[in-house]
Amino acid sequence: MYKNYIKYGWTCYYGSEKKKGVSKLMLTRKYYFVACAALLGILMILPLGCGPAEEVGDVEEEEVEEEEVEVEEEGIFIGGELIADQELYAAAVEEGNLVFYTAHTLDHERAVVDAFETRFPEIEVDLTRAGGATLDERMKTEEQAGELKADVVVNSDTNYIQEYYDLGWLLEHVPPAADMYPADAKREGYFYPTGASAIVIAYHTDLLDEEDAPVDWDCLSDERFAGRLGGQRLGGGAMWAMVAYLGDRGDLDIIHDWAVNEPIMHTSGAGLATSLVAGEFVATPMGLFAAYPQKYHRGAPLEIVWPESGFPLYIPSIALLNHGENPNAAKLFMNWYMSADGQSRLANARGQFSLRDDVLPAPHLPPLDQLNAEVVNPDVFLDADLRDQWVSETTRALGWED
Amino acid sequence: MSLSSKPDSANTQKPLADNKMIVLLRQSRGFLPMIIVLLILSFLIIFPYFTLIYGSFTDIPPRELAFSLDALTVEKYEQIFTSIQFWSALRNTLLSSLGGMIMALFIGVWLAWLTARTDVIGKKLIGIAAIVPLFLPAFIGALAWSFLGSPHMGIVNMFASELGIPLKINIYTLGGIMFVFGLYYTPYVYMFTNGSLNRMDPALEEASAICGGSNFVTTFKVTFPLILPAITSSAILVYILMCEVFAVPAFLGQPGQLYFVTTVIYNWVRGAPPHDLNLASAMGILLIVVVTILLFIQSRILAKRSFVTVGGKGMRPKEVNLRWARVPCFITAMLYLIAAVILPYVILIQSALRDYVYIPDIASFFSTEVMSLRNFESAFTYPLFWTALQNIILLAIFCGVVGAIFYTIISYMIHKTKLPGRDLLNYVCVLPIAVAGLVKGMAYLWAWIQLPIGIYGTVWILALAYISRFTPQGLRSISSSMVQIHPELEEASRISGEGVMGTIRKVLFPLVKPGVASAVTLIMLLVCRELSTSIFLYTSNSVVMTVLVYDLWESGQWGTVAVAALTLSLVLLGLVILSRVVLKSELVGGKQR
Repeated sequence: MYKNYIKYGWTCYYGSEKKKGVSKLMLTRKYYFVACAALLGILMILPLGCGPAEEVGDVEEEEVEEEEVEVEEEGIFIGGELIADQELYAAAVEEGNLVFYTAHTLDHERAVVDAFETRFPEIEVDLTRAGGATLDERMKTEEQAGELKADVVVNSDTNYIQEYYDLGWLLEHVPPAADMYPADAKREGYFYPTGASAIVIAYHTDLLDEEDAPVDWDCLSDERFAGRLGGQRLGGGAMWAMVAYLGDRGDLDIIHDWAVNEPIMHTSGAGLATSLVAGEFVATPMGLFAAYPQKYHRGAPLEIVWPESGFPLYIPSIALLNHGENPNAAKLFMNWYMSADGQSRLANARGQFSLRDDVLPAPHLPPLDQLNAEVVNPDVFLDADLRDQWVSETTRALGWED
Repeated sequence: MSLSSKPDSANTQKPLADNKMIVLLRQSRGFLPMIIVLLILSFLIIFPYFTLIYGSFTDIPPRELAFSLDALTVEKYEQIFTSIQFWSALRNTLLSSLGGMIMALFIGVWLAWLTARTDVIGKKLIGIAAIVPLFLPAFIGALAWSFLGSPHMGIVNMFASELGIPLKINIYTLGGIMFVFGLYYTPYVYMFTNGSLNRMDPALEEASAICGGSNFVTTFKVTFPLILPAITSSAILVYILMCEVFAVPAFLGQPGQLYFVTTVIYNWVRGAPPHDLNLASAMGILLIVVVTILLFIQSRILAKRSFVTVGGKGMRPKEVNLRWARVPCFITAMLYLIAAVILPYVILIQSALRDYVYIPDIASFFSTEVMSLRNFESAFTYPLFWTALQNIILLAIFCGVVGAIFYTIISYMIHKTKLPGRDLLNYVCVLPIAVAGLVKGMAYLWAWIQLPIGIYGTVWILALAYISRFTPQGLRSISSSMVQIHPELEEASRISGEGVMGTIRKVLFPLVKPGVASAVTLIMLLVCRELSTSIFLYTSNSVVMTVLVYDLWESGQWGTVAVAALTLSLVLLGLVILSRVVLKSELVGGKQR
């Protein structure tokens, strides 16, 4: 007469036959429905008291001007810039979709992809996001299995893209805007810069007065940040850029000195920004791509500091893979991504600086030439052995055991 | 005669030979299913683990199918044993699990004792409080506690400070991780202990009382010693589960720079470079060794079942009169409910409705100024959210049904046949228990992607992984019903003229149905909560809800994480209700029995 039920790995029973020595599961049907209804109720009722999505704090989201897609005999144009000729466009539409792997932060890339899909509704983008190293390992595993189906890849650590080039994985393609990009930031015909990402310092404006805010990298080892400093685990593109930059100028000790403040570490830049905003710590070195959207899109109490002695820029890259099944849609996507329209979208989503002269910085950001920024020496940034050595040293210095 | 005797002799020998053939055929008919099942299990279980073991003894990445004896080396093990990181990770893993286990034991036994042996008020509610945390995956609880218990701006610290309570907690410490472990593994201890208390013959306790033993003396000198095997067994079980868990240390350990065995394995495979898949394999094997030792100890303890006296008299145990302590005891149980369920859900709902989580004081906690539906909009317009939702529901139902059928066949072969090899079958089926989910994920990935079966990138690889991974749990659930069926019933059916299939269909299956129904529900719930194996196997087409939550967390989208986590909780609840409604007929069938 027992009703047999289950609870997590063990068969249990409920009912009234306690005297027969059967354990009771007290979740009767009544409680299921009550619990379900309560949870649904909370989820449905609470949001009623809140404003719509657009009414967020005092933030004024600056809309990027919508560019019209112009279809002309010579091809497809946006803002007067050629995106694709008619033949490529027709082939891309025929394919209808593409697989895009990216290491950029998910919601930034989603904003960019949404813009692309708005302009080219015939093409659907299947977006997969993972951290740079994770994405690399996934791609290698998939390639091994013969299951690598990505058409386009973006990685913040160009070392990986360079490796794919060496492995012969990249599909040759020259986007129409290729000439707009500096020669030392691309491998012509294979991979191109998505922009220049800055590593800066960010602090919590509610928890730290402006006069106490750090102004340069070495300030982060000050006693006042003991237990109140954040950090991102080294190894990914952004943090490697910081290590490479300071190491190249002979200041690696600055990072080592941060260890005295026992930084609270995170594995991703976006996670680091979330924690800073939550007040986990008051200051941290951080990718601008993580700080900018928090401050200007979400209105979070966070301020960006451009370190006085200078700060690094690193160049994430985009490439096409010859494993993909949609090469034409991929080419169209890359062409648009490198266009002024695509670059503006990317700049606004991430606070990233475009390397094109004709693309303005994201709203509220000064032009790059007014900042004491320097692209990380590619000889250092692309030196895998040096990366392993410096990252290992710095990791150990910061308290991560090796 | 001689001429005629020859054909006679031939005639008599031929039937003998035919008989042998028939016997052989009959035997092979039995062998065939056994061989098929063993082959399936070899694919599902043995081959992946072999790949992992081989990978730990070579320098060749295990994802490259290149078996060579020349490549064998113990270098990776030497590297691990000489690494400070390993010993640090091992120490953290063992210590945090120990602390979590002690806390889970205290709370679990306390709640079980309250509900089974006292006159505390709100017994039903306490029973619910002890079980409900199972519906909140531990890693989501850990995520919520990262906001509740962070050292500087944790909500609990903030409230304590505002109320003038000198409380300062830091969840990013070993103590914090122990606390979260303790919260979310208490239900396992409760279930073991409560079951044991209810099965125990209360005569011994009554005898103690008659001899003048106080409630205290009876409880500590009679009751608890009698259920000691159940307590110890559950303690080891939760200890193993805590050692194997990945997400909780990943969420709470990294900010405090605390390494755990599972997070180190993950970092070597998917974390920051340099990657070393062979080192990860070796670490995985060492974790298997640790868990196997613990399982061995548990099996030795479980062998001492004679401790518990199970009576058939159906006596109601005398309840301990708590008097004035009835309400305070109830409050302790509610405090547990608040910490394990209510507070995490409050912060999840708060986070889902906020653009960013920064709550410096009580006023801002209740303020709606920065609230919006942006996170809901972000989640609901994200195609992967719906893909993940659809995948997890379909996978849960598919694995629940197909897995239960598969486990039923195995259980039948083990318990209801005398086929040679059934012991081997049993051993193979319990193997996954000893392997951490994360390690299993690596093993499945590296083994199956080498085979030209085209399952990578589809949900099928996850389905196979789940069916393989949860074999011990599913089998155990069904076997508990299977072994209770006396052979006489089957014999009676056979004598009455039913064949094997008829007996299975008409006698065995109706009796084992409740166990199968339980297994279906169990597997569905386990699949929905699964993260550590899926994290190695998913692609964008086969992403599931738990992985999506993890990825969103890595992307720093805490608000969307909260929406996804709440949705996952609703899915879990929905599946429980669905299984209850759909499988009701099965349960009624059990009732008629």
